[in-house]
Amino acid sequence: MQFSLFFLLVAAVTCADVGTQTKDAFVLAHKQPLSTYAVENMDFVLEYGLYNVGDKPAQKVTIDDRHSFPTNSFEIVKGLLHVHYEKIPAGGNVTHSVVIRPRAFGFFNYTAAQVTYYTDNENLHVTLTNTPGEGYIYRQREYDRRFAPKYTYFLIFFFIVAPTTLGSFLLFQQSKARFPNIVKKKTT
Amino acid sequence: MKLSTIFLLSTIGLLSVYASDVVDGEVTDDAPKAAQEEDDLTIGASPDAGLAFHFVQPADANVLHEFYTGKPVKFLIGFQNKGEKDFVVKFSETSFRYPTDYNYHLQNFTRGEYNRRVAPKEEVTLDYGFYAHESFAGRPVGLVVNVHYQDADGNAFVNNVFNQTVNILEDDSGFSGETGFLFIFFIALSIGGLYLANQFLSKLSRKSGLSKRRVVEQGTSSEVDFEWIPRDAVKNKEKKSPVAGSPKARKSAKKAD
Repeated sequence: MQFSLFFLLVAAVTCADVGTQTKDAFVLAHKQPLSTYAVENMDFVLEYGLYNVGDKPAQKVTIDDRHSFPTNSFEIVKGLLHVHYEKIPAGGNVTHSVVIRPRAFGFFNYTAAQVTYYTDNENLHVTLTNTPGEGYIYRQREYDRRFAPKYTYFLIFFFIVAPTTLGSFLLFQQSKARFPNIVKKKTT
Repeated sequence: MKLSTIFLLSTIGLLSVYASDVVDGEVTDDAPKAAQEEDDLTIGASPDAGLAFHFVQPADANVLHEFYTGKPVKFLIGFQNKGEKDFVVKFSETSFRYPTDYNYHLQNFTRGEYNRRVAPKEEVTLDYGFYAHESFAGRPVGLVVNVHYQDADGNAFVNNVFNQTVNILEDDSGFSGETGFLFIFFIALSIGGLYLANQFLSKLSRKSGLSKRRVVEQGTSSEVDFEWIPRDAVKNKEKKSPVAGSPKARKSAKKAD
């Protein structure tokens, strides 16, 4: 009798444990720019991350971010803005990256991407990612002024410095030409 | 009679386990004490909201609960609206607490402002990131993340999504300026030491004999090689002698002539 009582208690405990711990698939979707600066006509890399933190696999997962990068202001260089994954297992994660190129400069609001997935093949879940927020797309010239190699500046600096360096070198050459004997002596 | 008592006991056991599990198994609101500390007294979690928490940046932080100082720590908060009304997720607050007394705040991080509307049966992912300061290196701290949100009627709710002790480790992977310059200084010191030792040894060897032949300086030879002086310079000298230094010198020069 005591044994059966113990058995029932164990059964009750395990049942309760399973009841509280079972969680559906729960996908966290993450959108993040990897490039530090967005510049017009230069590549801009975006990364999407999907993390399934639930206890069951998520099925038919899609990322759709076509609405946040309209093609009249962005050119898609590489990657897809609409992707589909058949299944993300429990505890698994997926990263997806896209390279785009802004066509114009100015402020731009990076909005959320939409992620949809199914749990148990029937319950549709709609998730929105985080919003990276408002960012500035630099003008090409502005970016060059800060980061491009400054060859013209070097050239101007060379012209400014020329009288003192080139001038003295020419003077040295002149005075050297006045002493031709030494060279002759040494060679002979 | 025996069977009925067994069933009674088992049901009581089941109920008690359920009750206890609901208390500590589920992600629920902040501890009642902490809630009282804050100005909003009776705020708790909404039953219609499901929350999830996941570290992104140190990828192993979900298991190990360890961060490095000076490196970004990023995490995601998932918010699921299971009810029939809209929710507005207002902000998240992250803080470091004293590990043995969570009412003592070590550091409050800037709020993550979201203001995201979540429609019924929809989910939203929110992100936040921070750096652990160097002064926390090598000790455990309590990390608490609370999410504040409102329903359509304006009722405020708070959910605690992370409430555990984490270890903060010193970042020793990268190049630190302090040790780098110390290293350079030691190299310079050793080179200087070698130079001094060389000097000392050479002095010792000179003293112990090996006497060099003394060279007595006798001035330059009187023959001047005029060949290397340019012609125009020699002519110049012939034409006009430079002014002598003093009258005395001039006199002596005349005598000599």
